[in-house]
Amino acid sequence: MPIQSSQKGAAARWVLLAVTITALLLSTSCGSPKRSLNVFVASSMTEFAEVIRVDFERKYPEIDVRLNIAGSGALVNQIVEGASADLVLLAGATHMDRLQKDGSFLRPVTIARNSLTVVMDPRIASDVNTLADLTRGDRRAAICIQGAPCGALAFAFAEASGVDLSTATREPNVKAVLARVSRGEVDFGFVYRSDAQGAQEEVIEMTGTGADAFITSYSLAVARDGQRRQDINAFADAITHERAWKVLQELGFLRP
Amino acid sequence: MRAPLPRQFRYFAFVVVALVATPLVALLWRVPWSRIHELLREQVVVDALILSLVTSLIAAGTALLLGIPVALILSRMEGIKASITRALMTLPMVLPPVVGGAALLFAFGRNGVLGSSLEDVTGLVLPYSLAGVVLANTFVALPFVVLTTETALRSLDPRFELAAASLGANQTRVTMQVVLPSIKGSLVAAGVLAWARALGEFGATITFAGNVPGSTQTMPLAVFVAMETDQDAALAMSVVLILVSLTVLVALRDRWWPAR
Amino acid sequence: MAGPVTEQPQPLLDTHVVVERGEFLLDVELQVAPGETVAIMGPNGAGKTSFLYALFGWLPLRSGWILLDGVTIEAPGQDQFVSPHHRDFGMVFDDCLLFPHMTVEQNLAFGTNVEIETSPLVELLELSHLLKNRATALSAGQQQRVALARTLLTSPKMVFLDEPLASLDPSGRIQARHLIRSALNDQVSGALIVTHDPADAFALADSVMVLEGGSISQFGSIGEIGEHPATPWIASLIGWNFFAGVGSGSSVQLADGTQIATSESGLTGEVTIAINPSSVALFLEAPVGSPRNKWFCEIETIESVGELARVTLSGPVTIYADITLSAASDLELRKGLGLWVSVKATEVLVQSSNP
Repeated sequence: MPIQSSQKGAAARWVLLAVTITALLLSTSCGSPKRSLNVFVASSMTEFAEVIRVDFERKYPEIDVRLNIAGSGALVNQIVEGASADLVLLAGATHMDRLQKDGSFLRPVTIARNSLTVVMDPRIASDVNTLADLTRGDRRAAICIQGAPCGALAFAFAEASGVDLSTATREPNVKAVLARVSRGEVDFGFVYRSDAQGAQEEVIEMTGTGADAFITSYSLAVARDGQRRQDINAFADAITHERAWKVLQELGFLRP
Repeated sequence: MRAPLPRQFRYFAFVVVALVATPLVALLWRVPWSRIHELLREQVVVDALILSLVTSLIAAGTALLLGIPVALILSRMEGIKASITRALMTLPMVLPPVVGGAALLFAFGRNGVLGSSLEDVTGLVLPYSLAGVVLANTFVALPFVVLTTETALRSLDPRFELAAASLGANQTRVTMQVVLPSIKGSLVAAGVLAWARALGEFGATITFAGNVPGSTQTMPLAVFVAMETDQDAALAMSVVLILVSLTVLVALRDRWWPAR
Repeated sequence: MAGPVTEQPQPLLDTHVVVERGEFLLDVELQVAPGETVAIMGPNGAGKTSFLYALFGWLPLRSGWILLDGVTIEAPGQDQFVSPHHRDFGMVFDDCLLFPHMTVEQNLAFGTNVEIETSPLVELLELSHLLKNRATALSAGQQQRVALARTLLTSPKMVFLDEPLASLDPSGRIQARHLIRSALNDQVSGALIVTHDPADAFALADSVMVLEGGSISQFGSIGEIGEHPATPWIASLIGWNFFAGVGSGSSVQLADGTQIATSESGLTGEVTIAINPSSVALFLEAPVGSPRNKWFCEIETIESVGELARVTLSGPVTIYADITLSAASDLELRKGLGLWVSVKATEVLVQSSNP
């Protein structure tokens, strides 16, 4: 019966294909010698973490560094709800305190500081000389949500300097604020100096506002994970190394 | 009577229902019930609740006003033109809402194609305004109205229109007094679906209308913000959203999708 | 075949409808005189409903014309087109199409400003007690009457009935025919009735137009058509027994003196009666009980038509009977056999020549 035999042949080919695919999948997932590191990074440190990752992977090709970038508050929420992180790089003290309560991380070290600044849409720059000019008319602002370190800092500054932020749009993290300003969707925003420095072509940083007195610090905490201690320490060293500091400085961060 | 299903189907269905119910139960478990009154009285929460109700109702109404005429025309179209129009009208339903919000921004934002001329002519700026929230909500809710209404129209016997015309009614009267009242149930379902979608809208809203407490911070946005600052408040608001949605769906019985 | 006899110079409806739908071509020329009712019969797909739709403007004419009362309603050659809702026609659909979201009263009021509760038509069609009901909560017969009233209340010059009795059971049909006939007589000056049932055509129409494959295969009175069918379809479907006679009270006397009892009353003058061959019962022994029409006849011929046997009998009357083949063999029917023939009075349809 030719029909049946050809069906049998087809079935056999499918089985063979399935076996081959399974074998391939197994060989990549189990057979690979690559180890991985999960690094959680506050979004204002995006560029820095990216530079360190590339350097690090060049030095340790067998380690795969996975960056998880979000607002500091969101990162801590993820960890509290069970996300697995080997190293955590956070802005602000509040969220690091929450992380410490979790108990699975070692004591943090401060690696850099960053100051608040005001950035403007270039189109309004010529009309604005003082902070009061900013809120004249119906100018629109963007600011981080209060839960994010950049937001806490900006609200504190606004209160101290009397800037009305009631109509400002609250963005989940500092990169979203910067994007709103650089796309011209809002007139001005509160970001870190490091962010302003990285976006010099799209936004204009306002000077003499006094915002630079409002400073947040970045700290690094590592997991109490005995088995991957070596890899974790290697990455922590890369972050705290003098060369890393050069990178931070270029990006606009301050010494701790 | 229907033929009985194999018993395994029932077990399987039970597992699936349980899978859907578990996260909701887990959320309810975490809610600080003793403090819920005080949490829901916070100004931010009250503002968000009122804003959500107002914008979602306006958006549902707008979606009905805009969607029904499109559905009427679509239900009479055939072939590739109909398929393309229908796909276009359905797109906001399957598109990630953030993409929808971004698209709205490029069209109606301050630097958008239409937004900049709109601002020049009328001084109206849609982003960061209540109108912007309504626009974002309408954009994502419109497909529910168009699809539900078109399905109902297509299942309506076209000869009712002939009968009405034979009695001397012109097209407007046929549409307003015969066609639309005949699919009243589906129109209600369409409106409720649109409203429910608008009430839960997050991505398009935060992208297009921003997150300004009191004017564009709706309940879902407030929940999102509160998740990083005041998790208890977030849970309390989530309870309200779940209760409202569930109540409406149960009240609608099986009418949320055209049965016939 | 010959067109209708037009006694007056200007027909109520004068039309030549040419409609193309894919492969199908409908080409019908028809004049309807004022006061005339024409039945349209024909097999499924012959174009009966399409013809009505074309008259209403729902199917575009490829060529031809439609004149109502001498006014051009549609003429593709002259670029004339009156919108359907402005045409002075009324239409009753086979399934009534009452608007389900309205009450009976709202349905009736849809096309008219007439006071519904006091309308004589509503009274005539026995709808007064149903006005507040939901239209969909009525029986088939009630719905049919509402649909008829709804159309007639708009006072159209001409009304089209598409299978008006199809949804009714046999007993309902007899009553409905009476109501339709009296309503039509009172209200409109012309009507077209699409039907499958020769009884409808017989009871309601002055003439019959038979459509087959999109064109007219025969036109004439139901009597002419029944006696001289032009095509096999006509022969098989409209092959009824027709008798002419003089009415007196509830019975009709034929030319040879035979009395035929009917369920009518007050008959006078010349009448035509029709009897469906399926309603003719055959018995080997004299039937006892109710039937008042019974005659002893002799079988002349037996022909089988599908699953039926058509038996031609002669005696006091010459009459056709259609019975099932199995019944025919049970009775051991053969040529020359003597049999009792009976017809219930309610199965005798009467049409007076001068209503």
